[in-house]
Amino acid sequence: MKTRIKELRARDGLTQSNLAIKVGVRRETIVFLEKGKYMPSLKLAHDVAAVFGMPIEEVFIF
Amino acid sequence: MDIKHGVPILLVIVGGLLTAAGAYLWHSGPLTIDSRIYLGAGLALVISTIIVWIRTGLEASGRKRFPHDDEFSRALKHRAGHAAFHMSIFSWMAVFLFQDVFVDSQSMLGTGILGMVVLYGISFLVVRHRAMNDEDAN
Repeated sequence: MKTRIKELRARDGLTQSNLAIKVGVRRETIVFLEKGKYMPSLKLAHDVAAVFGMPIEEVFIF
Repeated sequence: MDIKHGVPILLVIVGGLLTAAGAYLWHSGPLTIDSRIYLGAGLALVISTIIVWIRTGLEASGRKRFPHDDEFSRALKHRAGHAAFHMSIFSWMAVFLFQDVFVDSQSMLGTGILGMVVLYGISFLVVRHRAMNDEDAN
């Protein structure tokens, strides 16, 4: 799985910590998500995509 | 030194004294109930104080905004618990096979339980390390 989280974070000027707080997870989880080494739950994927205002499939590439 | 920072140091000192008293009693004769109580209480006090101290420090540094637990950390714990459970079964088998090594059943059970704790700790570290390095870990 690949994600565009890092790119989108840079676009919106968000740090990993900011994003973690917004979606209610630990920063470590965002690190693993960005690396594509953790398959998130549907809810987390939805929350992350909602932060960037994009559909899930444009943030997470399966 | 204000009271807030003095309390943990005081608890660590008291715990250290209790541990030392227990160790002295143990050294001066056979391991009695008294020395065990001193040792156990002292060690528990020192360890729990240090844990609370570190945790409080982390919270004070602003990390409290993050949850202590989330779906990723729970997934790691589940995987570690799964692995540790299987290993524990075999470790208990080994403990029973080598039961003659232990002086009594208490020390055998204590070793087995401590072994389970150690196995879980090792499993957690291994699972976490693999999650960091293995593309297919999740």
